[in-house]
Amino acid sequence: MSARWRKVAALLLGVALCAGMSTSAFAAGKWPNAEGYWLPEAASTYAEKIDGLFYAILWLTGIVFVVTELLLLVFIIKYRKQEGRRSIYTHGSHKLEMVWTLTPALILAVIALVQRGTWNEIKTAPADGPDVVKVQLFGEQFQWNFRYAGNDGKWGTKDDIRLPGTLYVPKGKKVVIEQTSKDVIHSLFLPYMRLKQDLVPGMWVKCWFEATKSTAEMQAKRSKEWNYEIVCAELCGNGHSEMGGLLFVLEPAEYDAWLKKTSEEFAKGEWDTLEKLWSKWPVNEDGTRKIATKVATEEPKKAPH
Amino acid sequence: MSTAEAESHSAHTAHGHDHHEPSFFFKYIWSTDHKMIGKQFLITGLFFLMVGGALALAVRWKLAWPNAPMPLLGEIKAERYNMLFTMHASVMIFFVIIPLLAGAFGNFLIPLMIGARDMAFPWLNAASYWIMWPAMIIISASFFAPEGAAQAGWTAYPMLSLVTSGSAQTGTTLWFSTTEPNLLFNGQTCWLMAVILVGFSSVFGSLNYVTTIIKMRSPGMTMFRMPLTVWSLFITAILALFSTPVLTGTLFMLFMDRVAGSSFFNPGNLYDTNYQEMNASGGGKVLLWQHLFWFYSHPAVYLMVLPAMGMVSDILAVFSRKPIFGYRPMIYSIASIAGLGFIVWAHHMFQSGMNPALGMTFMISTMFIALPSAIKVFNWLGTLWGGNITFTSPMLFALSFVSMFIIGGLSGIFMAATPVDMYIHDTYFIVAHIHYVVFCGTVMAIFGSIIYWFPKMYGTMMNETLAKIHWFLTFVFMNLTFFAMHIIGIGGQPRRYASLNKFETFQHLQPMNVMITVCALILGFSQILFLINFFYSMYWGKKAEQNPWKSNTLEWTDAPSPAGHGNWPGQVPTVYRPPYEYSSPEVAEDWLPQSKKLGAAAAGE
Repeated sequence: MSARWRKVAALLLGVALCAGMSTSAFAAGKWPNAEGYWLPEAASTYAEKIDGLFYAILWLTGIVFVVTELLLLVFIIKYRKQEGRRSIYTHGSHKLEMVWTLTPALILAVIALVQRGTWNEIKTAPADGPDVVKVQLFGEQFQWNFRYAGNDGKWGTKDDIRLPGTLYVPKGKKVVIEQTSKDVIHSLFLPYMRLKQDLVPGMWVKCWFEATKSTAEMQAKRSKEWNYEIVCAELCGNGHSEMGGLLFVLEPAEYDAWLKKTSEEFAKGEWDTLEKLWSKWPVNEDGTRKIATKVATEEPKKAPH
Repeated sequence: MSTAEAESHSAHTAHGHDHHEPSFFFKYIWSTDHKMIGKQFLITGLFFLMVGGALALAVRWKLAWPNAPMPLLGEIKAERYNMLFTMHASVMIFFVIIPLLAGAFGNFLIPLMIGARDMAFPWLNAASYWIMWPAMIIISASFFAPEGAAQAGWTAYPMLSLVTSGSAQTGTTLWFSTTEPNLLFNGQTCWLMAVILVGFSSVFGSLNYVTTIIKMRSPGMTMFRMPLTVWSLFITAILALFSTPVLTGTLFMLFMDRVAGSSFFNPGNLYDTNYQEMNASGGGKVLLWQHLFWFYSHPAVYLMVLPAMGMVSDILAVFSRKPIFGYRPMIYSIASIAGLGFIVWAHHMFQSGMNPALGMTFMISTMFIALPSAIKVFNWLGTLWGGNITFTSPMLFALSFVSMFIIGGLSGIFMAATPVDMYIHDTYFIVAHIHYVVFCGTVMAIFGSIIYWFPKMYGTMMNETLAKIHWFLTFVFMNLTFFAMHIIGIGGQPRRYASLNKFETFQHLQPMNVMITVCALILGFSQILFLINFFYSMYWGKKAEQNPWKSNTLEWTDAPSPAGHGNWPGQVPTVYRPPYEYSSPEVAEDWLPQSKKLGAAAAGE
């Protein structure tokens, strides 16, 4: 292939690639929501830290990417075959090997060290306290089931709030979710909070977050119908892509009011309490839970509608 | 010592075989010739590449147009969708990449590149190919099982893999039932049996490669004169030998859980969708599967890239007419990647519920495995620097490997950072990474290597123009398809979702999903050009000279194209120098074969 055609082909390839990569980042030219095609808006205390680490790595890898690809491009153009020229006969350079071994090693070590604090923070659930909201989550195919201790603060009593598919939390307070699954592995994913934690059958796992933006605040920026969504992030069967839920972040006073009212309604029996699920997971009065017990021999009672 | 013994035995055998041509059965079916076995792996591997690719297109169709029925398949319901991506990944990993890299190239190239006449264990070698057939039949038959093929992801995590399609855990106890789900003839159990058989193929092959490389190198072929292709296959074989038995044992445990009521992975006291307690003795641990599975599957991904790296190194050196920059560091890097590959497995499990302290340790080891890969990239750049580069199609594929592996490798750093992983785990960012390293990396290297070694396999050249057109289309459309997956992954799109219909949060990503699918369809159909080129050239390609690429290595300099019975027409070649003496000052030409003996006059400088 002649030199001229090679240049044309290389140019076309370069153009095609640039066009392709930019198009893939701006597909259809649509920016239908606040994020466009990028990270969802950070809405929790540690989301900002996670995003910060993400951007740091993006900058670093971006620079490495540009430099190495540029070198590759320059080399294949500059050192393309020319008659009468002979390649530089070398087997390597010990000095260069040292440089390009130690430098990345140092950079990787730094990245590894700086993120330990963040990992500890996001994976260590805060200790119990008056301002810590505790929720239990029982996953099943294909539904999230949340339980609150209710007004009496005791688990396993009649006033426990048991909600399928909806999670209510106060803004600005730490929420600890203790979770397991009755069947297969699921994974609780709250994109705006950056939270992800698997629900493992046979194991209780804790995760936590603190929301910084209420649903109302987000709705004001977007639309009245908008809500935080709960997403399942571990293949759990046929309903995996439909295992949605809603997260409501309320102002603390609003939340307290909701909790009180709803707990009273449950105590009065105004809600259908999904007995067949909850009876499988009884909880001791001190809040510790049994992993499982045998199914009760009598038919669990259904709450009157 | 034993090389000389092996040599005299082979010479004797070569003469002994002069007078009879093996029958059709022993030449093409039960062949013990490493070259034929390599070609057998190549053909079946390419066939399953088409199957896996078709499955991928079905996956993409559903994602782009979730409410529209697909041509041929009709409506794709969620359970079928789960089957599509499960089988896409399983076929690609176990029936395409591993058989092509280790089975096809390992078998074909190792004896030729080290000066041996065949492998150490020719019958075991034939067995390593033929054991793939029951595996291929079982995995293909599983599509026709009553509840379809496996649907729990190629990672087959319990409990999902314990409750899908016919399992003792959900109370199915009939062995040969034709009306209820069958304990044996169901997708997940068939998947287990097939992959166990593939594991045996892997181990048989690896035993051969390690033994052959250690014991059967020709005179003068020291370990540090072997081409990097052979080094990478050697280290990969060791990796396979250590890791595959763990997978086999683990798969067997899951098999027993499914058919025999054991509970290795079932903690007990769990309930199915009808709130019936599942049938299990209990006491098992779900996370145990993940640890055991990933203990193999992480080294497996290096198994799927190291031979490609070795072959790319050889191709880069030949077409730059330069020695490999940093030959020994390259070998140490391959060994480091393999070694470190054994202590990073739980980076797949950061969000799994395992002790977060493990997250810290595995984060550190995972960060550091980026290092040897980076060193290799720098050495490839060093190889190109100062070269005299010709852009043949194998070279284009090799260059693509380097540039695309940079992207795939760098994206891995995001995942290694555990806090970032909390967000991107199980999103399309991971899918993008996987496909950059395996498709944009390994598969490109496979295409280039097939074109490069085609003359040695079949005695003809593949059509260069068609190869370049195929390369161009593949390069452009694979980048369009997979780069966009980084973007939608950052947007939070989860993996293994049949559609985004239910989530407002992800609606804005739908147009990009459509774009990805359109590009994937074009990418998929472009591969037909390669297949046409491959099969056409086999019969009607331009006849090849013995060493069309002017390469230094033994398979080109001392064996005819195509290589014949016993590989070396006369004695096995003696080796005098390392493999990459291109543009050496000792000779006028820009290449100097390993087996060329230079006279005393030329040696005195």
